[in-house]
Amino acid sequence: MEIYPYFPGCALSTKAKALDICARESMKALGIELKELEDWTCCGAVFPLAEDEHIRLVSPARSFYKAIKYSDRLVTLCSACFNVLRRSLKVLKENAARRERVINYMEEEALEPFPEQLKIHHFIELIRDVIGFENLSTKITKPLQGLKIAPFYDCLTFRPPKEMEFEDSENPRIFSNYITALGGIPVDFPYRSECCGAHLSVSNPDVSLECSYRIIKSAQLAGAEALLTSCPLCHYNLDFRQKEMAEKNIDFKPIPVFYLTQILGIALGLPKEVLGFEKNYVSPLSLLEGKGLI
Amino acid sequence: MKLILDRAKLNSDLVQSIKDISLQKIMACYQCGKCTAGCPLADAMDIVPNEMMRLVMLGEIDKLLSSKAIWLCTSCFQCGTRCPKGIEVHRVFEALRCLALRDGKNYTDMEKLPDEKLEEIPQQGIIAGFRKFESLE
Amino acid sequence: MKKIGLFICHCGSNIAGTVDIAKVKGYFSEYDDIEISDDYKYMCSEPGQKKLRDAIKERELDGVVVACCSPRMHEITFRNAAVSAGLNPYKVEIANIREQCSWVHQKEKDKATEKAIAIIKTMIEKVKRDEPLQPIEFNITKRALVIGGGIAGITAAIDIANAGYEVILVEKRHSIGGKMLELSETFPTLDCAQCTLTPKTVEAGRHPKIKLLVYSEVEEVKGYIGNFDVKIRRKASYVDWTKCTGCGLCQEKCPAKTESEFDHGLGERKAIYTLSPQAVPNKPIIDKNSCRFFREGKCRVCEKICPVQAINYEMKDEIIEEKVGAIIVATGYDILETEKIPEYGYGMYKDVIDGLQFERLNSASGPTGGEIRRPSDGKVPKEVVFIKCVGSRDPEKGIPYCSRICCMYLGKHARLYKHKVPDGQAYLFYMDIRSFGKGYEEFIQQSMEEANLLYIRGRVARIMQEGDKLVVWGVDTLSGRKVEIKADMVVLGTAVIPSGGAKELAKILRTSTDEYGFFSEAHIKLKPVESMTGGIYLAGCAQAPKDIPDTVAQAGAAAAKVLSLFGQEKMVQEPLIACVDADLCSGCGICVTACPFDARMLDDESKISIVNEALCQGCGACVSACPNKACQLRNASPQTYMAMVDRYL
Repeated sequence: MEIYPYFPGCALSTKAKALDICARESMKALGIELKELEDWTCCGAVFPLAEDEHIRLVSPARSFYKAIKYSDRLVTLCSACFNVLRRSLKVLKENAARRERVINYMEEEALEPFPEQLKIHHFIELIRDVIGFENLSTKITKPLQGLKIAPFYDCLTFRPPKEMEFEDSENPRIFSNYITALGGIPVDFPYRSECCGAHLSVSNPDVSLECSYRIIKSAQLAGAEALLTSCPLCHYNLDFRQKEMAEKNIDFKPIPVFYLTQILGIALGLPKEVLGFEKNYVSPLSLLEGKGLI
Repeated sequence: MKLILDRAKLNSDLVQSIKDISLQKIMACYQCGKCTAGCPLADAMDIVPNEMMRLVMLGEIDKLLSSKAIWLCTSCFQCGTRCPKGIEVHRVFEALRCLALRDGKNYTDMEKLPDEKLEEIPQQGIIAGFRKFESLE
Repeated sequence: MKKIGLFICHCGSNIAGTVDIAKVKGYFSEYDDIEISDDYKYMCSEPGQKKLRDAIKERELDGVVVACCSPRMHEITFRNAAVSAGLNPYKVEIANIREQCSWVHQKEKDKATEKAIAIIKTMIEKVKRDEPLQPIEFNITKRALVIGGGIAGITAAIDIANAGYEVILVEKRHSIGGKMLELSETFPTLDCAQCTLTPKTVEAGRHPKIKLLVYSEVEEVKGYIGNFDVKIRRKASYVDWTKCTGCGLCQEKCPAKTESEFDHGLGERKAIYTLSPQAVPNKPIIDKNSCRFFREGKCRVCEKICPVQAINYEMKDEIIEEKVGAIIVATGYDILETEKIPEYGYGMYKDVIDGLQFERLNSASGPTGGEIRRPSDGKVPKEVVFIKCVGSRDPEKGIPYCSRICCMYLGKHARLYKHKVPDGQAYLFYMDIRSFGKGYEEFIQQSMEEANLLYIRGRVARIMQEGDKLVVWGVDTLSGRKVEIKADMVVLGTAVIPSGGAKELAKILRTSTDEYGFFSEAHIKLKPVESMTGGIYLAGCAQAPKDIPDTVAQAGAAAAKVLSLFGQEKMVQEPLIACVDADLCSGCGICVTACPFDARMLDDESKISIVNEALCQGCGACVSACPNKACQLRNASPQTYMAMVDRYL
């Protein structure tokens, strides 16, 4: 069993606990243990874009000092955590002045040299690089029977490309390859990387509803049977808020939105109880039963 | 409405703050509009991203601080990713928000959110709301 | 005892304002070796030069020092003046007391005067030791090589050939005509491109002084201006062109089809093919990659059907050696790989095409016979979006410069589209409209007014496929609104870059390019057709993006430079080059590898190093490399410089 330190983030530890469980069980079935980092602190949800906000780098820095004790890789599943941690690490590695300020502030917590060799990985990178998509195909017991899934390439996982250094943000392929490896059919759609409205749901819910609605409609027009996302906030906007979309549009047809690890759990044949379907407002059960997947 | 320009206006403290907080070469913008063309929220904005850049260049900061646009930005980074001059437009938007918030005003009172909403929305959204819309005071 | 004349220039107040001329003049009037110490307000003027000439004659001077501005300005002026008075020009030296003295010490007049005296003292030491050298002459091969058979190369070749000199015109493809051959109509007159081009290609093809080498590439160039040795590889065409009559039967009957490069992927061609219906020469080649015989050993239909038995599968590449005196580089342009701008969907969506592809659609000899039809389903597009600045003016994803021709050609495309599809709508996204040439602005305005084209100021962020439409997300910055258009077809004005292989060719020619691969001109304003290497000239887009009128003008200019070279009896080279003290040379050969101009070699018999006087540029690399100090620069030996330093101290 390979063990990786794992940063779950707030949402996946509490409100979206079911999705966290699904992730860990799936990884166990593939021979990887995700061990929750001890005493981790909230990443901060948004990367500080102002050049003079150093305090907001302290929490990520804390997690880096903790993680390096176990491994030089830290795995995260939430897109927001991935964005914040990856960019914070890059800034602290490259900007000596800011790094000094943060370290001085942290005092005893940062006595060791800064862990430059640490790498932040998204869950999907583990699958691509450690397990391999081709290998994954051989390990699944319930291939997805050509389920048409539209992957939503959220803002935080792929942008800004120079800082995230992940995939070509104009033409990302990783989720599509993942879906194919699991036996599904990835559906490309025009609004695949247009923001869902994110945190505007707390301040201007009408505006963010419009953003999410456009995404749903676009995926449906392209022939998708379900969507896929890796960000808890996107999941809320695209899934839970379909309630409001239905209220505002008479001929709205609901469509299930899977969290990234749910389709992995399904394909690995994990029991229904650990797949976290209670977190899906639009239930995928009838769709999956129809395909004989559960 | 006529704009009166002079070097004091173009290099005012507010303009300098924007430059310091964002660390971007504001004058490199040649108004191609690609940021606006790709912004998913531009339809809802009163001042669209390329206009925002133009107003910063012209020193019209107050107008921007009282706009709706800066609060409708979700920091999705699409603008900065596409800018052909390499300007991180999202950082300029953030600098404008910072100037407004550091003045002590809140855009949204997060405490006034109804309880059911706080229950439903993932913490990520709530914390982001605190950080983007509320003053530290 | 020498008889040296010292002439101190005031240069108006440039020197006299800081240096005390009278003091300097007085100092040297009683100086050893100085026969006359004189001054004048402007030595470079006619009276100033007359002073010089008269003094040389009357006082029988055997050396001259002019204390004035930088030698880059007037060394030649004073050396020529000396020649006309009968003094060897290499006995004239400049003491730079302006750029290196008065201009940099304007606030310290006393010290500047001391320094001026010191500088002059050192130059007197030098001129005492200078040898009266003779310029070196050598023959010129009065034949020219033109690399590139587009409109630039053809124009230059015809101009030189008409003056009576032989020209070798080398072209990579198997017919001349370049990119202009692919165009349908040209701006601003909307002339048919082939109608204007073919008279020139035909003339080049049949001109008795032009040797056409198509399907060929330059492989090696040795030598120097006036005397180049060139090796050209003529690729195997597998068709014997001395027998081929151009009847076209082979092309008709060939069963193998493949994507046509000439049609930029929009059409097909056979494995044995001529480039276009108006090809010069009108002979085919066999493309090994698509030919069934070369791939599988089958077929041989062309061989059987050819009435003159011209097919020869055994043909090999041929190396042709030529001697020329001047080379013109006219290798033209390509367009940027549009896949580098992935948000526009080029390569992913069939109906997103580039400018050259549109030319083929509009061309009567193109894949659709000149009808505007979209590549995906052949339907006539009613909503067409044209996008400028794709990759141009884009330091992040493309190139930072402006490609110069796109504003005009996309405006032309939109107009041509409207001619053919009168009920269609054309939209042009632009940042600026650069219509700088004769008749250009009028053309653009007429397009806007008459053809109902909508010019939208803003760039496009993304193009996506939705059903059979292309959704274009742009912006109109003039009204501050996002714009969405559901287009049937999109035409991209992609950036112009130098032709593929430009950098490699520059290495072969030993000349330089800029970071993009455009050949470097010797001076961007004053020498736009001379390269950094003597004897190599530039014409057309190989030097920088430009339209056809400017290309033709530049090609004529390059030809004129060649003709002025060929118009001389012999070539004259400055003698301030390297020389070898045979007694000291040990034949180690270090200088041979050190020389960047291939100007050194070891003599076969004596085994000591010799200098090729025509190639040597006097850079001094060999001098510093020589471990024995056997290699020296003429009139610049270490002894001379040591003496100058001693005198200064």
